[in-house]
Formats: sequence, structure tokens, C-alpha cells
Amino acid sequence: MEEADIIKAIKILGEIKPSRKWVGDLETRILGKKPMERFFDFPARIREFVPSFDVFTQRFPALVFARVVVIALIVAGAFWGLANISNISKDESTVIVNPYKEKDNGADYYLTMAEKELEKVKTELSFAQEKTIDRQKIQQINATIKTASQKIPKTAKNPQEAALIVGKVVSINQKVKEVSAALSDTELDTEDLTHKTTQMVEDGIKSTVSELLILFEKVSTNDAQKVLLEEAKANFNAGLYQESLEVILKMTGGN
Amino acid sequence: MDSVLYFQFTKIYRKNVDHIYRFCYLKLNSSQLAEDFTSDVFLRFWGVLQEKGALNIKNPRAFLYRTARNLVVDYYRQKPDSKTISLEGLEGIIDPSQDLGKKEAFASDMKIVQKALSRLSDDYQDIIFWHYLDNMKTAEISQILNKSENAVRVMLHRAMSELKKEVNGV
Repeated sequence: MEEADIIKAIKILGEIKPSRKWVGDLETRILGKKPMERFFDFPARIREFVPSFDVFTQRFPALVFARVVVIALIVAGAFWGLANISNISKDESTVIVNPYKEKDNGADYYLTMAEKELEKVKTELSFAQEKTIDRQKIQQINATIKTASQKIPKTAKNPQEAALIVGKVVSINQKVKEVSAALSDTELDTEDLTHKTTQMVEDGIKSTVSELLILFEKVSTNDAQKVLLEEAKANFNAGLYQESLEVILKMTGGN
Repeated sequence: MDSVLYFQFTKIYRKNVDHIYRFCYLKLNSSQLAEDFTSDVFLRFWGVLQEKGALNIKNPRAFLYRTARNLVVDYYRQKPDSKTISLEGLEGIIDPSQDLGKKEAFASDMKIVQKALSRLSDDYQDIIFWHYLDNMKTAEISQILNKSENAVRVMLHRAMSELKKEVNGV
């Protein structure tokens, strides 16, 4: 038998593998169950893409933040837009609350109020023959939006809060766009609200990515990981936090 | 639990568990024993990782193989008569697309290689498995065996020559 045949026969032994179930059971037996998996049951595809990412969520729940925000940015707008359109109650048209007389509620309260006020104006416009609206109502909406904007936190407490705020701001912007399209001239202004929300999301991603970079600086062992880490740091320094996060996910995703 | 250690262990475990299992399986001739030994290897690794920290194990794969190797050696010290290289159940992994004649010829070749491997020393067996099965470079093998790279190269060459002789009945 030639050496090549011997090597071929040896290589066949590489097919010997333990059962996947046993491999998973052993890992669980040694490390115990990952608690955050019970709380954040993301789709299996995402977990497969970043299998090791869950590891960090035990000690650093903020690390799931970025992933959730990214997903939230994509789906929240549509979700909240649809949900709120279908949930408009008919008798809500009588509810007019002056935000300045309310006790100190959070961003969620004022965002919801702004949504309702905008929805009411939208409904009014859809039935009106002459597309005009009382200037006072526009001022009321702007005041609510301004208060909501002041209540937007610098960083969200958790991913759910971020998703909620982003979803509502997207919905408000959509409604403002629709109302503005119907009226020839409005003074509705969501620029500050949008800016503060974007800032909140960016700060969340920035702090998450920064935390991850510090962590990976300690645990990166091989050359490939070090190259990716440098790439992630370069993106971070350039202000490209999302891109930096993507590179970090590559580091945790493969063997 | 320290999340850095947890992360480190998970990465290393997923990357190496198949290799360590296969190594144990081939040395112990039993899937049950291979599972037990592999569990033991990773439990010990986890213990050391917690004790020394993630950064203090420079070559985890070398550590795992050294541990597996020591466990196998201890096992055979207690049961010296049961030593063999296992090809139990390997019929199933031979390429099913091959025709019956080729399959039989290949199975026969494998049996010959199995017998030849079982007649080699532990060092020669291991070095052949690591290099040809796990595609390890001589530098990495040298860390497991605590030998110089040059010594490993020579050893690998001799191991393969020995195996050829055994296979061809010289």
C-alpha cells in the first residue's frame, strides 16, 4: 500500500464524531444553563450567527441592546404604526390633556400623547372638505412633541425601552409626514425629537461596542481575532459603531 | 460566573470537542469510554480555566490533548491488556457511493492500517493522528509533546515509515 493510500485510510477516521446531542448536553452540564437565553429567546438563526454572543449577556445585559436596537429599527416602525392605527379608540377624540399640567411622566407617555393628537388631526383632515386645521392644535402637538423630546433618555434603560421609543418616534414621524402632505403649510416639527432619539440609539450602541472592545482586547487569542479587533477599533474610532459591532459579531460567530 | 471565562470555554469547547472525542475513541475502542474521558478532559479544563484564568493557558488545544493523553495512559496502566486502536463501527462511514468491490477493498485497507497502527508506539500513533487527522502543524504538536519542532518532524517521519513497514508487512 502506498503512503497516499495509508493517509487516505487515516483521514477516513476523521469522520468519527460524537452525537450533537451529547456535545450540547455536556456543555450544559459543565457550564449550566445560560440564564439570558430564557429571557431573550431570539430567533435561532441569529443565535446560530452569533453563538458565543449570548455568553456575555449573563454579566452584561446591555450587550443584547445593540442587537435588539438594530432589529427594532427595522421592525418597530411598521409594527407600531400598524398597531396604533388599529387601536384608535373612537371616544379618545374627547381627551385633550395639557402636557404641562400632567405630573412628571416619561417619554413613553408624551410620545403616546403626540401620536394620539396627530392621529386625531389626521382623521379630522380625512373628513374635512377644506384641508385646514386650527393653528392652536398644531401648537398643542408641537408642545407635546417638545416635551416628549425633553423626556427622551440619553441612554435607554434596556432594549425594550429603546425599541418602544424608536417605534413611537418612527410612528410620529410618519403621521407628521401624512398631516404635512395633506396641509399645504404646517409648523409641525419633529427634528429635535428625531435627533435625540437617534442620539439615544447611537449612545447605546457606542457604549455597548466600547464595552465589547475592552472585553475582546482581553480575550482575543489568535491572529485572526486580533486582525478583526483592529478592524473593529478602527471603525469605532471613525464613529462607525454599527460597522464595528458587525466586525465584533464576526469574531464571536465562528470557530 | 465570569463571563470572559464562560466565553473562552465555550469557544474552545466547541472547537475541540469533536477532536478530543475522536482521539479518545480511537485510543479506547469504545464510544461510551470516549464520552466519559472527553467529559473528564473538559471538566478538568474548566476547573483549570477557573483557577488560572483564561489568559494563563497559552495553548488550550495542547492542554486538552495532553490531558486526554494522560488519562488514556492512566487507564491502560490499570488495564494493560485491553489496548487497541478502534475501528469499531467504521463500516458506516466509508463512502456509500463507492461500489461494493471498492468498498470491500477500502474496508480491507482500513483493517490493515488499523492493525498496523495498533502495533505502533503511543507516541507514533498520536503524532500520526494529530498530523494527518487533526491537520496539526509540527509546532503545535511540539507543544503537546514538549519537544522541539525538529524532533517532532523527525518523529513524524519515523512514525510514517514505521506505519508503512507495518502495513506492507516488511
